[in-house]
Amino acid sequence: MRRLPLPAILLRPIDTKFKQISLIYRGSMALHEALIALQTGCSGLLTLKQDDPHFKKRLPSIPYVHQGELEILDRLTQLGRHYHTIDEYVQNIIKTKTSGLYILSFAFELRSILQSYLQCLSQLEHECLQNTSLTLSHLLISLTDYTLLFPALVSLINTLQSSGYRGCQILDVIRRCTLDGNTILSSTMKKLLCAGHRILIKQIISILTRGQVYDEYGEFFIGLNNSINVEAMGMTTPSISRMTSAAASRSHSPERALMQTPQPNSTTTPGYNQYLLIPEMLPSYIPLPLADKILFIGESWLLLKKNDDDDDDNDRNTRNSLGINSIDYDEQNHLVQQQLHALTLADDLNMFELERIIERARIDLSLTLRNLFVDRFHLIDELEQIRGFYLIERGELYTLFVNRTSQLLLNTKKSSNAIENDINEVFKQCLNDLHLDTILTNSDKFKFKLNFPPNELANQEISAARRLLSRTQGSNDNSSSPSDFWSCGWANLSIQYKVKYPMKAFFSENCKQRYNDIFHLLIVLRYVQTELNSLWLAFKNHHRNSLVWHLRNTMSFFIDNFQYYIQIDVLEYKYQHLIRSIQSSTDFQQIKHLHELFLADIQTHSFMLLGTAYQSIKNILSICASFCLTIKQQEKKDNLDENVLRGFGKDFNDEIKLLFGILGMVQKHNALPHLGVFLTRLDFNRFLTNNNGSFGEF
Amino acid sequence: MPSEIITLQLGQCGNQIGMEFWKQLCAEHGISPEGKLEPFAKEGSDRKDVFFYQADDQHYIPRSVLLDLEPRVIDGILKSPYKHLYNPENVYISKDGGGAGNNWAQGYHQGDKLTEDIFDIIDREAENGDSLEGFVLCHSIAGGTGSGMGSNILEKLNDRFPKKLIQTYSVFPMTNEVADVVVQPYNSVLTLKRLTENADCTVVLDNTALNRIATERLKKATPTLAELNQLVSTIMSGSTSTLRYPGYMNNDLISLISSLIPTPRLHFLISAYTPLTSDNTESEVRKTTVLDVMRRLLQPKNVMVTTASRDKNITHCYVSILNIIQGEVDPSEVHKSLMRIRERKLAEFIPWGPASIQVALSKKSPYVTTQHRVSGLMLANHTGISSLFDRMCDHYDKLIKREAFVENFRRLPMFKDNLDEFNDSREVVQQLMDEYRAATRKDYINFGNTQTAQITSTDPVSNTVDHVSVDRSVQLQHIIVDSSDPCKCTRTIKTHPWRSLAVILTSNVLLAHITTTPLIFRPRARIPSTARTSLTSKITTKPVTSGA
Repeated sequence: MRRLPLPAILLRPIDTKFKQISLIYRGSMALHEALIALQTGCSGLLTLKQDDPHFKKRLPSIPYVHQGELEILDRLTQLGRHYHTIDEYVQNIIKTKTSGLYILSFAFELRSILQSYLQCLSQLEHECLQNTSLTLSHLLISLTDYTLLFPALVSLINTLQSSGYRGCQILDVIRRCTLDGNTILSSTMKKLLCAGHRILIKQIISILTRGQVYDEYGEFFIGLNNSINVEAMGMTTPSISRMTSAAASRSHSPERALMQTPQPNSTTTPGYNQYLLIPEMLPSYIPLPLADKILFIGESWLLLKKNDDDDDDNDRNTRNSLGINSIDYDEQNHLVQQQLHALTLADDLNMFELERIIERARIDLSLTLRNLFVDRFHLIDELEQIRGFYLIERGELYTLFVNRTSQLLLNTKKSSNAIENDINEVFKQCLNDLHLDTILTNSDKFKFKLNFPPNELANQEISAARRLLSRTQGSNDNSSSPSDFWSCGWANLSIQYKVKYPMKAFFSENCKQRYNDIFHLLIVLRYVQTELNSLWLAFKNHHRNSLVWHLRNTMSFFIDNFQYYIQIDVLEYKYQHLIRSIQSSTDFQQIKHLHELFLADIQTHSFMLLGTAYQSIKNILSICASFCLTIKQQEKKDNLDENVLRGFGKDFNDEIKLLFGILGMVQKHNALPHLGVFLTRLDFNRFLTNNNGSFGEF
Repeated sequence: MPSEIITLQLGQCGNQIGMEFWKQLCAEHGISPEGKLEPFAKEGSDRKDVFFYQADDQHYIPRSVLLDLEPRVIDGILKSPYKHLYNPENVYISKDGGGAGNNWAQGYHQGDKLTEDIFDIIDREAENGDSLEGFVLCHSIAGGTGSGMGSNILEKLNDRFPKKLIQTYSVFPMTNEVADVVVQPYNSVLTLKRLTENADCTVVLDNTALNRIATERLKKATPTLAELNQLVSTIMSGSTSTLRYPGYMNNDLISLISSLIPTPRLHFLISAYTPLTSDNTESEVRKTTVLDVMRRLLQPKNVMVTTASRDKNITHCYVSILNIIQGEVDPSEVHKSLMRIRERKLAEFIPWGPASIQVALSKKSPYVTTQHRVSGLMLANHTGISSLFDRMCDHYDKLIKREAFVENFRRLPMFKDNLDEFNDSREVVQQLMDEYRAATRKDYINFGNTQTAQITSTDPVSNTVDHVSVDRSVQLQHIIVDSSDPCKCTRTIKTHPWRSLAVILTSNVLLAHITTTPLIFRPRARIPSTARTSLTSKITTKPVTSGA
C-alpha cells in the first residue's frame, strides 16, 4: 500500500542503528534519534528499555544531551506518536472497508497528509546527512505545521471514533474543525471536508440524474423508506391518528425516522415514494429545503422510471411514454453532472451554487411532472374522484347510501368481512342506481372500499376515555349514552383508496388518512342529518307535542349550518382555490405542497385540530343521533317521556354553549378566517347572542 | 332510481302549469318533446330519474299523472308537440267530461267516485320507482276540479302514503278584484283546510302577485295565461334544481322541506325568483352578483305572494329562508352577501328560535342559455302569509253571512244535512292564521300547550271558570269566540276575566273543554255546531261581575 520512499534509516534494523549511532557524532545521533521518534513515536536510544517496543518513558536526563534538546525531542516524540495513531487509524479503515465511503475517503485524504509528512521527513533526513551541523530545533521548525496539525487530527479522529458518527454526519464534525483561525489547520481540514464532499456530490449526482441512491453503507441523508409496507397495510388505528395525522406530516416524527434502518442491499428497486429524508444524517450546513428538493428530484425520477408491483397494460403504455421523456433529459443530466463535478474541484463547497443547480434541475423536472400529472394523468379528474368519494361531493349518492345502510351500520359494533362486503355491495348498487358509474368512474378501477378499523381495543380505550371525559365535565349521560354512538359502524366508517402507480406520488398514505379523517366527520354529519330528516317525516302527521319539533328543528338547524359551513364555505371554497392553483402552477412540488395545505386547511377549519371544540362537536352529533334513536323507539309506544326530551335538550344546549364558548375565543384571536361565517350564520337573527349562546330552553 | 317524485296535475290550472313545468324540465335536461335524449345532451351529471323514467326504448317518460274532469286542457296537451311525452295510461279524464262546474263540492264528490281509477294510476306509478320520496301536486284552489278533487286526493294520499312527502304548488286566486268564479272564496277555504291538514308543504302562488310581477317585471300590460304559467314553471323547476343537478347538499326533497318548516302546520311557503326574463323582452337586470340576487329576492315586489309586512299591530317576519342560487358561484360571495344582508337588516326573523338564510348552490342546465351569470330562487316561510288567508277569509265571511250560492253545495252529499264543513274549514284556517301570528311572538314555543298553567294559576281566571260553571250541567263544554287580537288578550287578562278567558282560548286553541279547574285543552276536537253557537252567544252576553 505505501509506495513512497521511506527514509533510509527506517529500513535498517535496530541493532545496526545502535552500531551506527555509537560511531556517529553525538549531534547527528540525536537527529537520527529524533527522526525515528518522529516516525514511530518512540525516542529510541534515549530510553532505558530499548527492547520493549511500547516503552513510553524517556530517561529523566541524559548526561550528554542538553535539557532543552530533550524537551525538543519530547515534542518530536509526541509528534511521532500522533503520526502513529493517525497511521494506525488509516490502516485500520482501509483494511476493514466496512466503515463507509465517507470515512474511507476521509482516511485516504488523511493518508495523503501523512505521506506528505513522511516526504517531509525524508527531506529532513537528507538534509541531516548532508549537513551534520543541523540542530534539533531545525527539525522542530521544519515540522511546525505538523505539530499544529496532528493534534487536531488526532482529536478529530477521537471524536469520530467515540461518537460513532458515520456517513454524512462526519461532514458536520469535520466542518466544525475547518472553522479555525489557523490557516494551515483550516485549509487541511477543508481538504478533508472536500474529500467527504466528493462522495456527497457523487451521491447527489446519482440521485439527481438517475434517481438512485448509491449508498451501500447507509450514509446518505436520503434513505429507503421501509416503513411504507407497514403503512400500506392501511388503517393504523385511524381513531388515534385522526387527531394527529395532520401534525405528523409537518414534522417528521422521530419514531418514523427510527424505524428507518438503512438498506444494505442497494440493488433493490424501490417503488415510488420509498425514499425518506433522514434528518439526523443531514449535515447542518445543508438547509432542509435543499435536502427536500433533492429528495423530491430523486422521487420524481423514481416516478418516471420505476415500475410498480401491480401494473397492467395501461400502465406499461404510460411507462413507455415516460421512458421517452427521460431520454430527453440526458443532456440536461449531463449538464447537471458537469456543474456539480465542477463544484467538487473547488476547495470550498459552494452552497449557493449547489442550491442554484439543484433548484434549476428541480424546476425543470417539476414542470415536466406537472405537465405529466395535469395533462396526461389528469390529476384534476383524479381530484374530482377524490372529492366525489371522500368529500361527499355527490350528495345524492351518500344520501341514498346512508338511507340504505343506516340500520346496518348502526347495529354494527365490530368489523367483519361479511358486513364490509355488504356495505360495498350496497354502495355499488347505489352507484348503479344513480347512474353515477359514468361520472365516478374510478369506483372499480381504484377498488373503492369501506372499512372498519380492525383495532377494537383501541376503540374501547377511546370510548372509555371519552366516558371519563364526559364524567369529569359533569354532563350526565342519557339512557342511551352518547359515547355508544362512537363505537357503532357509522362512526368508524372509512374508505380504503387504492392508488395506482403514478398517483402515488400525489396521494401519500398520510394524505389518505387525512382524507379519511375528513370523511369521518362528513359521513357522520350526513347520517345525523338524514336521521333528523326522517324524524321530520315520522312526525309530520302528528300536529302536536311541539317540544320534539322544536328540539328537532334546532338540532337540524345546527347540523345543516355546520354541514353547509364545512362543505361549501370551507371545502368547496378551498377546493376551487386548489384547482385554480393547480391549473396555473408550473411546479409539481408546489402543487403537492398546495394539496397538503388544502388538507391542512380543511382540517383546521372543521375544528379537527382544536381538540376540545372537536370533541364538543362530536358530542353534539352523538346527542342528536341518540335523540333520533330514542324518539324512534318511543314513537311506537306513542308516549314520549317529556323528561327524556328535556334531558336531550339540556345536553344539547350545554354542548352548544361549550362549543360557542370555545369558538368565541378562537374568533377573538382571529385564528380562523372562515369561522366568522359559521358563527354569523348560526346567529343570523341574533338569537344566540340574545340567549347567552343557547338555542332556547327545552 | 331512488327518491322519485310523482307529479299530479289536477284540473285546468294544474295541467297548464304542469305542462309548462315539463317543457322546462325537458329543455333543461336536453330531452326532446318526444322524450328522446337530444344528441347534444351528452353531459350526464344531471339526474333525470327523479322526475323521469326510461321506457323500454330508452325514451324518457315523466313521472306525471294528468287528471281532469273535463277534456279541454288535456286535449290541448295531447295535440301539442309534447303529446308523445306522457304515458297515455297516466292521462285520466272523467268519462262524463262535464267538469266540476267550479264547484268544490262537485269536484270533491266526483273525486270520491273516481278514487279507484285514480289510485290505480297513482299506485302503479308509485310502485314503478325504487323508493318513492313523495308527490308534487299542481292545482289551483279556486276552481272546482283542482280544489275539490285535489282536496279529495290529498286526504287519500296522506292516508295511503303516510310516510311520503306531499308537496303542492297551489295557485291562489286573485283577491283584490271581483272574482271570475263567484264561489271562489268557498272553494279556497275548503281547500285550504286540506292543504293545512293533509299536505306537508304548500308553495303558495298568488295570482295577484303573479299578475303584478308579470306586468312590472316583464313589462306586459296584460300578461297572458301562458306567461303566468311560465312564471310558475320557473319556480317549480328552480325549486327542484338541487334534486336534478345534485351538489353537496339538499339533494332530496325532505332536506329542502325540513329546513324550511319548523312545525308541521306552518308549511305555506312563499317564493321569489330573479332575474326574470321572457322571450321577447330585454331584461332590465344587467348585472347579477350573488348579493344582488339575494337582495332582490328579499324585496316584496319580487315575491310571488302579496303579503302585508304588518297587519293588526303585528310585524311579520321570516320563519326560515332557503335561497337556491343557480350558476357559477364563488362560495365566498355567498357569505359576503349574507353578512351584508344581516348588517342592513334586510330580513326580519322570528324571535323564538335560531333562523338564517340557508343557501343551496346548484348548477345551471348546460343546455339552456341564459343572459345571466347567476339566478336565484327563494323559498321562504313567512308569517305574513296569514294576511293572504285573512283576505280570503274576508271574502268568505261576506259570502257565508248571506249564505250566498250555497245551494249548489247543498246538492251534494257532504253538505246535504248542514254546512258544518264550511264552519270547520273556516276554523282550521283561523287556527292556521292564529298560529302564523303567534309565530311572530317570542312565546311561540309554548303555543298550544303550556298556557294552561298561566290561566289556572291566576285568580281572576278561576273565578271565570266558576262563572262558566253555570253550564256545568253539560259535562263537556265547548267555547268558541271569534278571534280577536292575541296580543290584546294578555293585556286584558286582569280587567276582563270573562273575556280574557275566551280570548286566550281562541288565541291558543280555538276549542276547549271546560270541565272543572284546571282547564284541559284539546286542540282540534270536533264539536256539533249547535252547541257551539249557543255557547258563544252566552259568553258574549254575560256581563263581567267577578271582582278581580
